[in-house]
Amino acid sequence: MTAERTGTGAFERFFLDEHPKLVALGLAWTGNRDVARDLAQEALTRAFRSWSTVELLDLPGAWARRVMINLLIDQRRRAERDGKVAEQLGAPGTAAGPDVSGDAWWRAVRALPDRERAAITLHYLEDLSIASVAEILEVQPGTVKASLSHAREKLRAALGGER
Amino acid sequence: MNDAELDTLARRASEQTRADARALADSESALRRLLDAAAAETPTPLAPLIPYHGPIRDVERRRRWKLVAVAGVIGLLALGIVYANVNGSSTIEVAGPPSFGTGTATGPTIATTAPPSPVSASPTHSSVPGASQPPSTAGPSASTAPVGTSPVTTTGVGTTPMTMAVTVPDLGPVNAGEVPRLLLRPATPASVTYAGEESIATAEPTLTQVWVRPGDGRRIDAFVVVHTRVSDASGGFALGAEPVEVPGWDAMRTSPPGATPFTAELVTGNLVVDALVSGLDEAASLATLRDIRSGGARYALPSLDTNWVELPSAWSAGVARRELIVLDEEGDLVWSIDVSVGDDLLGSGFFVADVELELTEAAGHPAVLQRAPIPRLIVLRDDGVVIRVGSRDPGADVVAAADSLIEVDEEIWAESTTPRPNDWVGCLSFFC
Repeated sequence: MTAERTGTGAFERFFLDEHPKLVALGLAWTGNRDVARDLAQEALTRAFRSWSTVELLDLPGAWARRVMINLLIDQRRRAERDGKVAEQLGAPGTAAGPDVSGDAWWRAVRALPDRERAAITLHYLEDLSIASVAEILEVQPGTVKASLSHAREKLRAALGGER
Repeated sequence: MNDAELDTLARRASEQTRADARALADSESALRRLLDAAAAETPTPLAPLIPYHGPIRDVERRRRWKLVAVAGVIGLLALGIVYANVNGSSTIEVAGPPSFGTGTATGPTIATTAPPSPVSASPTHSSVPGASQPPSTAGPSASTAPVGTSPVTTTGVGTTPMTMAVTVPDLGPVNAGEVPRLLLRPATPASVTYAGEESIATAEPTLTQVWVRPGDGRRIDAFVVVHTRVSDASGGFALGAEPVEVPGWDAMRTSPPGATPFTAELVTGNLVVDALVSGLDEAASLATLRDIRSGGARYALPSLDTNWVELPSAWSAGVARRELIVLDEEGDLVWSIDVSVGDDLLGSGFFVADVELELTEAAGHPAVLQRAPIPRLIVLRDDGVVIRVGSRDPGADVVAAADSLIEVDEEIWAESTTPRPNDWVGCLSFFC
């Protein structure tokens, strides 16, 4: 996830390397292609705007993932809020779009609380170590371990009946 | 389903998602879009996902925000803090212009004194109307004979919020019955550099709140909130704030707005006072979090209201989420608070912050939230730990979900989180 520090060329390499991974993160998280691409674009746009700072980080990719997860959480909260407001007003809520993932695993993951969802997604989707996940989420490794443990219990319960 | 089966399922799903994403991403086009937009100095056209909530920003507010930010720097770190122990153990005077850098700054210098005997009254101190006299034979006064200095380190750039956290050296014991006095007086304006721009403004404190807590008889801990008025060529731009009474906290007095200098007189005994300085720099949002230990006091907790509020915030977009953890006296995790910044309005003067409080209910620590009467404040209280989240403008849009959107994490985080009793994790304030 590191990027060479040589200006625009470095950013382009960073973008091309990270973009599909962030789209994957968004797709796993939301199941919605448009949302996944839009938020990945937003995260990398922010990286571009802050590139002079981001490129100096040891792990610019971790920064981008942190931003992406923040955006995903915010998007989920807003969708819920708008849905509730719309419901109160008797109006149609913001359409989240079709869930294209079609995968029982990710559907079950999306039912997890944000922290557990983030830990599970980063750990499996990106094959990241506990330490790397902790770095991205800015929590203690013990917290990640607990999140994964609790998440697996819930997933086991949710998916066990589907098998 | 055992672990191996679960892992197999997870990895298969992950592999498929990665493949789907590679096919979907069209990264070359996305990059071109971003670079073209940057070259045209227009934002990358993103399909709006959600309606925008928030007031309309304008250039004038951006300018005001910068002035406010500078004023915040001046107002906070140019304040002189004089602490006097009425029994004469020591005096601290904090003054002098700060120097800033990103992340860490060397703030005011503390002048410490040897215990004078007896202390003498300072003629610049104004009395607080209605304040009762402290129960001390030494009388309400402060010594002013510095014999040395101790550097005080502040963290972060001093934008508004107007809370200051200054690590005060151990001044020796505060005995039962003593009434320490925290005196704040403004220093002369100084020029500061913030975000690459130099500016000079006059900051006049308009209100000070001192929140204090019972301590261990050794340290002085208080939570100081100062709001300043910016005076500039345009005629000034005032930040307003009303004192928030926090039931359960020891009584405090504040001087009338506009009084210069002013005194916060603490009228209960055995108190510790520690001024807190926190600032927010553009990169790291919360710079300083402080834990206010209650010393065992417990406070009545109101019922859960709502965890949604839309606030102006001085946080930067991007790295815009911070997890706050609050520890109780034993260093166990009580609260986990997840705060994020919403729309990217950096530079426009206001920020929309979504505050979602993931409240962890640990044994013996019920998780509740109170919404203060002033819409800009949410006060969390448990065992005397206070976390204040506020916005500057009481008239700003405050969007609160009518229904609770709280996610309550019922896990016992104390089991999974390493207690850090030396961490300071409370006292979050952010204002524009």
